[in-house]
Amino acid sequence: MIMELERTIGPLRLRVWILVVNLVANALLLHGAVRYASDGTNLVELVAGATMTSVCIMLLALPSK
Amino acid sequence: MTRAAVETERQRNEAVDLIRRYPLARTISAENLATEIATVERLAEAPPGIRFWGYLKLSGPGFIVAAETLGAGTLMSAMLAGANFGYRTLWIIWLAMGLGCFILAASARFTCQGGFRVVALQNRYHGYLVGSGLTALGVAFVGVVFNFGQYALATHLIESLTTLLGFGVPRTINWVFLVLFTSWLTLLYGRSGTRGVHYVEVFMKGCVLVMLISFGATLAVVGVSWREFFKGVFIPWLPRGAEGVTIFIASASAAIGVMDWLLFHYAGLARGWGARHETLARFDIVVGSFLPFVFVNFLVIAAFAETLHRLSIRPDTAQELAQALAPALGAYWSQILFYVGVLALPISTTVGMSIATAIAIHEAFGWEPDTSSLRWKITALLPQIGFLAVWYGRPLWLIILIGAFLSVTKNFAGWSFYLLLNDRRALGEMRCKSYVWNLGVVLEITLLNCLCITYILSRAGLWPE
Repeated sequence: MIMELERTIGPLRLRVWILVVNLVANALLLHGAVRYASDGTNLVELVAGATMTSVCIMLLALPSK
Repeated sequence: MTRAAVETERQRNEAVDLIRRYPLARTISAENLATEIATVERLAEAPPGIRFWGYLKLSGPGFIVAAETLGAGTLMSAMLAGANFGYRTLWIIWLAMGLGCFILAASARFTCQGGFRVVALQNRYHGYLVGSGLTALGVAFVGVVFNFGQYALATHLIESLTTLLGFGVPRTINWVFLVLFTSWLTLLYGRSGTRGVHYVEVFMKGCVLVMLISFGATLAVVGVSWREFFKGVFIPWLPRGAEGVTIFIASASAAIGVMDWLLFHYAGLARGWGARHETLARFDIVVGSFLPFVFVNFLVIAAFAETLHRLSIRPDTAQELAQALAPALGAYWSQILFYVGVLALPISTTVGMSIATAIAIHEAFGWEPDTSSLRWKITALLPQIGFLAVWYGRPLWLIILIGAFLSVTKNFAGWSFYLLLNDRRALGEMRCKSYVWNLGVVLEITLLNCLCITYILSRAGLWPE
């Protein structure tokens, strides 16, 4: 199934919503990464951020139909 | 009518149409552009060697971008990387520039296939805040403020160089020559009745060549540890802990930015590039922008890795770094060559940033660029205010302010480019249909997101110093 990223949900296109989610995921990933690198904590945050970022990147790379 | 005559007529009509798209292209004669279109079509079918040299001759905007990007900031960051970490961060250079090229390819698509002016389209689809504000005025502010750094470095270098040659010209005097020379070149771009665009492109190519020869010769003098070099190029390494994350984000996101995307797009329009030029535009991105940027950075990092890194010398500014390296080069002429190579960086950056500033201000306010107008001249020469760096240093508060502005807005301009590339309304059937291309663009904007987040987290005290 090809995802239609151009359909509008609320005020924005799905592609834009995923860009926003990606930004949040990047923040989680970075905050988690820097905490984990500093004192070994926030592993859950790091993994969640990395997973969400990867999913968003894979979705955003889909060209429009 | 013969087939050849029909082809010639088609190429001429196409050229006339392309020239109409952007005022700076109107200095090109339809006959010349039609000949170029015919050459590009012929080169597309030619054997690789002939195609390479043919495209190299026709390239230009990519070299302008490389020469503009390779300035005091890039030099400082490459010198510091070499002096502090040796060869170990070389891999970041090609990775960062490689990712940046995906957005440059989007700029090329807008120029060649879209035929539109990107800021106007951003304004229409994403609002004036994103188009005129974050993209165009952002570029203009960068052009004006960051030119202080170019003047600070260039005037110091001229002073050192002329002292070495035995007739020291202090920076309080040599800035005048710098202003006159860079202003003349800037105002030559797109000037009616001349081949100004061509001359500026040739100058930028020359600067890139001087950098490569000069830093190549410097490296030949100091030597290269090839094992460490290839290890640095292909095996990723970062300092442990938060410092590594910070260095990666700062170095990777600094390689290429909104000014480069915009400059490549409009420099292409000024050349009258259309659908048949897209392969040439991509060649120009790789050979004109990517390779010079990567090679110059590699050469500078390697030179400092072999000298100051081994001696554990850590100067703070680009001027100090250059002065610290010069004696290590030994021979008189190698020092001169090194200074000339370094000098090519801020000079070409000043010219590139001044052209970008004029274009950006005109696009921000919807003004038609007319190089003979006073408005064009004033906007093109605005960055020349950087000469004040000779007396007052760099305006740190402004640099911090613009740095902050860039950090938190660059990604949104990137979002806008990505969305236009995938927008049927903007590009119709020529919108991006490649997963790999989109992936590259998305990775680049994710990197820019990280820059924005790092800045916000550090301001909020949530990022370790």
